[in-house]
Formats: sequence, C-alpha cells, structure tokens
Amino acid sequence: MDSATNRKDLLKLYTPMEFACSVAYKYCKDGANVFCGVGLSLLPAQLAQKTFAPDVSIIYEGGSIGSVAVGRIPWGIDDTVIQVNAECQTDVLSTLGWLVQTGRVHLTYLGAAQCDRYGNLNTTLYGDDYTRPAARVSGSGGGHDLAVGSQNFVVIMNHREDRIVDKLDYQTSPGFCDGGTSRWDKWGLSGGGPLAICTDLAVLTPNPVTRELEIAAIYPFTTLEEVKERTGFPIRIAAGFKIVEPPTAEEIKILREQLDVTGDFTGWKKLFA
Amino acid sequence: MKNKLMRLDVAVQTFVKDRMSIAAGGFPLARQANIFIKEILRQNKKGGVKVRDLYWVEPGIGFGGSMLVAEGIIDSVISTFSSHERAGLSVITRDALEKGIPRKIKWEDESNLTLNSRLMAGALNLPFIPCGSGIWGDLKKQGLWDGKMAYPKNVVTEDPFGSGRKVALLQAISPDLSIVHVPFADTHGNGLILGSMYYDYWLARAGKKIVLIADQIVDTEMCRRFPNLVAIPGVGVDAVVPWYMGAWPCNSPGVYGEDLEHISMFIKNSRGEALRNYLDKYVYSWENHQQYLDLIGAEKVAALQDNPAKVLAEPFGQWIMPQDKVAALLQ
Repeated sequence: MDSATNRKDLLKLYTPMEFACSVAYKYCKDGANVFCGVGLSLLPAQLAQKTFAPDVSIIYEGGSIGSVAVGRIPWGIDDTVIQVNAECQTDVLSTLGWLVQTGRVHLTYLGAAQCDRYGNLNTTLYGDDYTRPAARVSGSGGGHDLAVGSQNFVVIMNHREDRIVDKLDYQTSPGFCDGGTSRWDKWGLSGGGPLAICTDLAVLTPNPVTRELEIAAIYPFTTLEEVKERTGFPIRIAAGFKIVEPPTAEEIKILREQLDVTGDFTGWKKLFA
Repeated sequence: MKNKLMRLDVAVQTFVKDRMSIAAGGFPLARQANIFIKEILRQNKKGGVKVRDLYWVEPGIGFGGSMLVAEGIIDSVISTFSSHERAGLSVITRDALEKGIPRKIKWEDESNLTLNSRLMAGALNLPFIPCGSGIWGDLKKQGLWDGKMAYPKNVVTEDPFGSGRKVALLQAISPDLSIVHVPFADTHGNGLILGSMYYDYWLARAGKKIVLIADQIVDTEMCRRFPNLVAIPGVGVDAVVPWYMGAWPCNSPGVYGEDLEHISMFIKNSRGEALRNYLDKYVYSWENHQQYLDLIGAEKVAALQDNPAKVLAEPFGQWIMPQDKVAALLQ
C-alpha cells in the first residue's frame, strides 16, 4: 500500500462505510446495553453481537429490547423483524426516559446530517430559516435524548465540508456543547458525549481537554490533506494518529452475508456491479 | 359495561371537528391510525365532516399524517421525525415545509422523550413537566403555533429543591382526540398491544377523547385472562372501530407486517398527478371494508400476515370474535 494508486485500489474491495462500521463496532463492549438508531447506525452493534460481544443487549427506542432481527436488517426501529423475539417490549418513556436518562445505556450509535467541531449534531434541517428550511431531513427522533443521557455515543456519517461544519444549521443533539467541560458545567447534561465520529474518510475523536474534534485516524485510501479539505473548520491531528487497517475477512463476511445483505446500507454491491 | 364498537364513518363524524388537535399513535412503520386518517379525508369529501385546519401531533409523520398534509388540511404539526425510516424521507412533509406545497404548515420539533413527556403531562392533567432533554439546542425554538397551545416553550430552570440540577419545563399537550391503532380490543374499549408500545401508553391517555382502531375484536374473556396485556383500559376509551388491516401499509405486530413495497411506491408517487392518482385509488375509490381489502389484494394480505411476528398473536386466536358477531354488535 505504498503508492496512491494502490491505496485507491482498496476501494475496489471495500466501501468507505464498511471501513466506518469496522471501526465503530469496536467501541462496543461485551455485556453492554447498546442503543441503535436508523440506517447505518443499525450495523455496528449487530456486527459486535455476531463477533466478540455475544452478550450485548440491543435496545430500540420503540421498546424492543434484546431482539435479534429475523430475515433481514430492520428498516427502522419499528420494523416487525425486531418485534419477533424480544426479551421484553416496553415504551419510549422506559427506553429514552428511564434507561437512557439514568445512565443505564452504555453506548449509542447515531447518524447525523451535520456535526460541528464539538461533536454537536444536526439531524433536522439545512438552511438558516427554521420556519422555511432549505431542506428538511428527518428530525431528532430519540437522537437528542440519547446524546443527552447515553454514557457515550459514536456517530457514523458522511464527511464533506458542509457536513462536518463550524456551525450547525440546527442544533438537534448535544455533543460537547461549547467545548471543554461546558456540557456538564454549563448545561448540566448527564451522559459523557461522543467517543468518535466515524466518517467515510476518517475517524474523528475529541481532544481530552478542549473537546474539539481531531483526526484520530484516516483510512488507507485517503490522505490527511483530503480529510482537512473536506472538513468545514481547521482541524488538528490527534496524538496517536494512525491509519486504519482494512476490515477483516470475518467482518466483511458478516456485514455482507448476514447484516447488509441487500447492500442498501454500505453500498457494497456496487463493488460487483 | 357498555358496548363501545362504532362504525368507522360514524366515529369520524362523531369525534372529528375542524381546528381540533389530534394525537395519532404508532411509529413511521408501525401501527399508524391510517384507516381513521383516510376516513377523515373521505368524510371531508362526502361532507360528513368539514375540516380545514387540524393541529396534528404524531411521533413520526410517515404515512398517515402526510396524507392529511398532502390534502391541505393540516395547519400545524408537533412531531419529532419526518421520514418513513429506511424507505426514505417524507416527500410530502418536505414539500410543505420547504416550498409551501400544497400550503405552508407550521411545524414544531420535539425529541421522542420531550414529546412523550408532554403527552404524559397531558394525561396526568398537569400543566407542565420537567425533563432532562430539551435543555440544550434548538428544540427550544417555537414553531409559530396558532395560539391553540400557548407558549413559552421549554423553560430551563434549576431544581427548586436545591439539588442544583438543570431541567427543562415542557408544556403539557392534551389533544382534543387521541387515535391509536391496536391489534386487539374488546367491546368495552380495552386495547391490547403486541410488540413495541412506542408512545401509545401515554399518547392514548392524553386525549380528551380516545378512539381505538382494532384489527380484531376479542372476547372480554381474553382481557380477564391476560389483564396485564391491556395497555389502554376501556373505562377511559370512547369508541372502538373494528377494521382489519387498518394500519396497512404499516405493520401491526402479531397480525401483519409492514408493506415496504407499498410504502416505497407511495414515496415515489408523492407529488402532482401521481399523488392525485394515488389518493383517488387508495383513499377515495372504495366503499366498504371488503373493497378496501380487495384493493390491497388477497395475495398481498396473505403475504403480509405470513410474517415472523405472527407468533406474538398465536396464544390468543381462540378469543378473536367472528366477523358476523362483530357486525351484529356494530348495528
């Protein structure tokens, strides 16, 4: 993997989002209570469950706890494929209220439209007029509540200069708020904030003091220059910076054959088109 | 106890009024009160009701609520989510918010915890409720509500008991009507839910009036055998509308799965002429329950029933009331 051409060749074998999932799922600990959202954020917890973390408890905000999806990956947290074999079924006040707000959820995977330098997220809209958005996206759902109360969270999203931004178009979910310890001192939020932002180009992690995002790692098919160029604010390089190894054969096999079978989430089928 | 079964058209004529607030249960793919929503549109066309401006409260506007937006009878929305999950964003909601098509709607964002908490406060007849969410960020922004529900929104304050903890005070929502789709209900109005409850425990209770739509009517003996499965106690419910496949194309766990093919087709036909044709066919063209089922198609109905989650309902088959008995009770 010395020359730039060889590095780009990796994109013939793996998609960028498979790299992102292969990093994100390692934040999961066996035995943890893990919360999943919609879309790509559904993949890492299930990948962990099928590899090193069989005793993970997956919680969906609608109330389904401990279920293993049957037949296909769920299209949402309200898909029938996760209604089948849950250990218990409860409601939103018990999941996002009780379990999340009392710190019983160890890790949450979230998606986002925009992320700012302190890991605050926008999943609501683009544009500067709330009453007439340039583009409306999904909205908070339970994202705000999970960002507030989950012990930690990991974000999976696309990396562009208008996605990793200096200022959010709409503040949906709190990361480290105004930076430093403001999340706890100024805003009184309970959870620990984001551990990492796994994008299609890089892994960003918060500086331990300023809580500003830094480049912790890049994927072998990209460069630091490219990551900096595609980031909407001047970004530093973290201590211990590294280049991520490609996903293992086992990770790819499970992702493609058991989880994202249709390729809708990571786009892997395009590699064989 | 009183027999609360009511025909769909009668229920809409009885409970739906212009400029009222309605809270609708379920989630974008699950147990949305779709048949009741379609009947609001049908009765509006037939003159059974005259509705121009509804105040709509729904956890995630997926299928049902967006049809009301498409037909221009929504004034304002309180919601947390405008998407059909993985199937795609709600094109109709986007067009209304971004371009004012077919009309400008007012919209107010909540999170799932803040909105559910506001409804719980309404159910408990409290004016407001403290919450750990809604302290930071733009969920505090007002969505230009029309005075139907007063403001200010999200008052951030400290615990008056001296812990030093910050809370957001959220205003209660007591909708004029709550509509919730359930797989099973009995004639007394006891609503049983299988699978995830979403908001429905408190959303149902928040309504000044409560109407359930049930796929199947069950004998009250089932409630007596499994009283803890009754999520919504009949003593507080005003009417039960029996309508098999009423949540379609959403799922009703235990009875049928979501029709992803139809939802994807709906998203693709969410504009202009295609939308008109869609609504003409799926909302307005049929005259009775059998024609509605025929429109879905017997093959499709069978396929949706043959879903892994049907095991949830397996123990309860013996208490399901035959259709002719339900029909007799509706007279």
